[in-house]
Parts: sequence; structure tokens; C-alpha cells
Amino acid sequence: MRDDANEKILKHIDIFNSIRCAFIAAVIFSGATAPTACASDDGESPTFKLRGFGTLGGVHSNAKNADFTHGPFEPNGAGYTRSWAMGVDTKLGVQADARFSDKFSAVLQLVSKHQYNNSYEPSVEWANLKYQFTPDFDIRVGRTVTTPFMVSDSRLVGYANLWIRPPQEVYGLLPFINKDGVDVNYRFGVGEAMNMVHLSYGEISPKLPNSGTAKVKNSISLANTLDYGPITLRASYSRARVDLHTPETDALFEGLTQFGNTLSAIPGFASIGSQSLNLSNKYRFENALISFFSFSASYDRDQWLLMAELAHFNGYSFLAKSTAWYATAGYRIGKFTPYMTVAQLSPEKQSEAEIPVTALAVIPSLAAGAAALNDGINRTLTAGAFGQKSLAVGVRWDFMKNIAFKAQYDYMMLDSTSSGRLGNVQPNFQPGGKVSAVGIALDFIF
Amino acid sequence: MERMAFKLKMSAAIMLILCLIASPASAFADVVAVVSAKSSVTSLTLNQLTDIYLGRSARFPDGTPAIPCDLAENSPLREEFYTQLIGKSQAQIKAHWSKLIFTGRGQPPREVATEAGAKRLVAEKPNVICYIDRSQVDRNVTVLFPQ
Repeated sequence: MRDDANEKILKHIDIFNSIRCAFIAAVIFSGATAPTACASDDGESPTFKLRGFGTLGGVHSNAKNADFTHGPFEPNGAGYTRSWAMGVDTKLGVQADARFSDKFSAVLQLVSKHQYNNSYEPSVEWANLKYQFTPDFDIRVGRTVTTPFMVSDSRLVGYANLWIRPPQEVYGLLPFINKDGVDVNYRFGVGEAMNMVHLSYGEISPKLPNSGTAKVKNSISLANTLDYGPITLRASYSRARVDLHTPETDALFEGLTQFGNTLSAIPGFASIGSQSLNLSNKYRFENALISFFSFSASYDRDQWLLMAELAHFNGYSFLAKSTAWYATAGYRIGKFTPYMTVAQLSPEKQSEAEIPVTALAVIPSLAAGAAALNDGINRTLTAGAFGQKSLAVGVRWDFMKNIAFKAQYDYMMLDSTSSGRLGNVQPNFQPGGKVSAVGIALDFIF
Repeated sequence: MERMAFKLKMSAAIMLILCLIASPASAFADVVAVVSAKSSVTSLTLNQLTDIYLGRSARFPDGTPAIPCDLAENSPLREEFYTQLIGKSQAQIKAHWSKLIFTGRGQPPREVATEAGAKRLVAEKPNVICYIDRSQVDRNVTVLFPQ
């Protein structure tokens, strides 16, 4: 386990070292000057560019006993923990682009945002070497971000998007999208349209709040994007093997195993014992195959920006199979772009036949144990079936060069048995109900 | 006679309105996309021009490499080119490129300080495409769009 972690770290250091060397080389080649004047730049001489993006944002939410967060990686947010939260949207990204020749380039992007351990420690979002075989065909090796959704790879770049944050009903379906591996991009013309094929393979082991861990292996994504003038059509498919551990679910599965072993040893209770063991095996999130597909469309020209995505998540164990969609419309009036989004997330609710408590009534401690485990399974299955609908209205104001101000109001209707997309859910949280969130944000690039 | 004149005026007005509705680009813009007269490319459709300027395509329709160039950010002609031909404001273009830059998918067009510089660059390099005012068109360059 430790060796595995060490190997990971070494691998990252390797990537860092090679990229650092590459950057130093680039700086030396380019005479340590940032080549901003491009008239003499033929695309052949080495260049080095340092750029960045960020968001300064605050969110207020009336969520009770749970927080409005940016996703499962954020340990707390607005609502239960605090009235106004800066961490939901605030972030800073710095990117170094080095080009060594017209074919060979590297990118390193560090992003600081509120993360699993409640810190703003920067993490590596992108770190890869790219070889551009032709203007239409490239391969990247290192860390990339895959694109199960239309803007998943630019989801952190607030300035690039109309909303403060992408609709969580859809974008929350697949939060593990960084990947250490390889990706291939190939594009070709189809009549007057341009078609781009994106294929990636890799793995990643992100950390979750409260000592949760995830390991995503053999992750494959395929996306096809067709651009025709202002119209973009997109389809994507992803699949991966996933290990997912949280202290709560590990304790539950461990409890089922122990209970099963105990019962199996008692004459007459063996069948109930094996039932308990089966449940533990059935829901244990080890090497679980999950898959995902989505369809999206957008129209962006002159005043109108229209976007819609539909996605299906083929989950496993306590992460329920789910379908989600959203539609956004924005209308530009000078520097102002008011917008509206409707979104829905619908899980397939799961239930499980319970361990028979009455058959164990002769031994009250076993009956109590069975009742507690039954309760645990049902709570876990219910909690993993996230469902909500929401309506968001907002405005983007491009009030000055490279800076946009946004204000957005989200009104969420939680599924009656679910905490929806809320995070940091407390034991006394009441499922269902309506939650709203108001956010303001300054998005900038530099 | 008066009726005739009225009819003429009316039809002229209708024609004008139709022109404005049908092709706002050609009705207002003096800005044109050009390549070197030495280039084999002689015309582009609006979609092809848009693809080249938004980084979706790095080639002309005949397969030869296309390298777009931009005028400086404060140039009125640049503003006109993007709003009237590409259909995007400067802020939208910035947002578009920040999407590509921060996902490692591309770099915005090179910038040239002046229109004269752009014209010189185009004339010298057959792969470079740029935009200039229509009044500046001469025999060294070919207008690709609008024709």
C-alpha cells in the first residue's frame, strides 16, 4: 500500500522533473523573454508563456444540516458550516505553456481551490507533454482532464463559461475527470463542419473529504465533437474500474462480513450468515465497473447562447444509476448576458431485501445487530441515490477587459428521500425540501 | 408620376431593409479577410473563416496550412471583424480562447500591431490569413470573405 503510494509520488516527481527541465530549456532557448510580439513568430521558434485564471466568489445558502458545495471533493461550504462561503467558487490557476518546436510542447497547470482536506493547497490539474504530428492530430502524455461533458475540461475557468459553475445535476455525475495517462485528438472536416475525436486512457487516485479515497483504473473516454458554424454537437462515452472507500461504507461492509462469519458458525443460522456475507460482497465498491454516456448540443452566435446536455451514469453499489440533463439559455445585451438554467437529476432508487430480524429474535443481540445493519444498508442505498431539480437565473457582466462579474441564484428542489447535490450532510439532515443559494463571482484571466 | 416616385422610394426602402436583414455583414462591414495573391486559396465560406479564427481548423479547404493573424486588441477593425463576421464580441472571443488555452488545446492567433503590418505579413507569407479594410485591398492580396 505504502509502496504503491511511493511509486505514485516518484512517478509524479518524474513528470515534474521532465517538465521543469523542458521549461528551463525553453526559457534558455527563447532568450528568457516572453515572446508576446508574434509578427516574427513563425510557429517554429521555442516559446514560453505564463498565464492564469481565477475566480473570487462568495455563496450564501439556506441549506440546513448540509452545505452547498462545489462537489464531492469539497469538505464544507455554505449552509450548515457558514452562512457565506468563499470556497465554493474561489480558485486560482496558473499555467505555463512551453513550446519547443512546432510539434513538441508542454503544459503545466496548478490550481488552488478549496479541497478535500479543507486547505487551498495547489494541485496539479494539467501536466503533460504534447506531440503534434500534424495540425489535426496530437498525442499528449501525462496528466490531462477528460471531457465527459461539454465544458468539463474548462469547468474551473469561470471566465470561459457563462455560469458561475456548471450545473451540478449533470457535472456532478462524474467528478473524477483528471487522468494520468495518454490522450489522442484527431480532427477532420466533414463538408463545412469540423469533427474532433478525443480518446483517452489512464488512471487517478483522488482523495475525498473525511478520509475517503477513490481509485479510478483503466479509465477510457471517447468523445466526438462536431462544430458547424455556431452549432456544436457532442457525444461521449467513458468507462472505468473504480475502488471507492469512505469510513462509513467500509464500516458497514466490515460489519456485514463479521456478522455473516459469526452467524455462519452458529448451527441453524448459516443461511442467514451467508446472506449477510453476500450483501457485503454485493455492495463492496472494489474494482467496480462504472460507465457513462452523454449527448450535448450548443448554439452560440451573436446574442444567443443555448446549451443542453443529457447524461446517463451507469453506477454500481450505492452509487445509483442516474440520468441527468440541463438546458441553459443566455441572451447578450451589450456587456450583460442574463441567463437561465433548468436541470434535473433522477436516480434509479434501490432497495435491498433485509436480513430477517425475527428469525434471530431468540438471540436479542444478534437481532439488534441485524436491525442495525439493515438500517445501514438502506440508509447507504438511499443516500447514494442523489436526486434534485433546479432552476438557476443569473447574469454575466463583462464590465472590463479580462474580468467578468457574475451573480447567480439557484433554487433546488431535493428529491424527497435525498440530499441532492448538497455536501457535508449531517446525521440530522432532513431529506427533501427546497434549498436556495445566491452567489456572486469575479472571474478573471491574466 | 408622384405615385411612381413613391413606389420607387418604397421599393428602394424595402430593398435596403432586405439587404440589412439578409446580410448585415456585407451591408455594414468594410472589413475583409485576405490572403496573399500568391495563395492557391481564392475564397472561403463564413463557416470556414470562423473555424480558422476560432482555432477549430488549421487548414484552408484545399488542405494547405492556415495561420490566422489578429490586429492589436484595441484596433477598431478587429472589433468590427469579430462582431460583424464571426458574430462574437471581444469578451466572447477572450472567453473562447481562455477555454482553449487553459485546456491545452490551442493558442490564439498571432497579433500584428498595425493594418499595414498585417498586409505586409499576408503578402509575404502565403499561409497567413488576416483582415484589413476593403479600401486597402490591392493586387498583392486576395479577398476571401466576404466576396
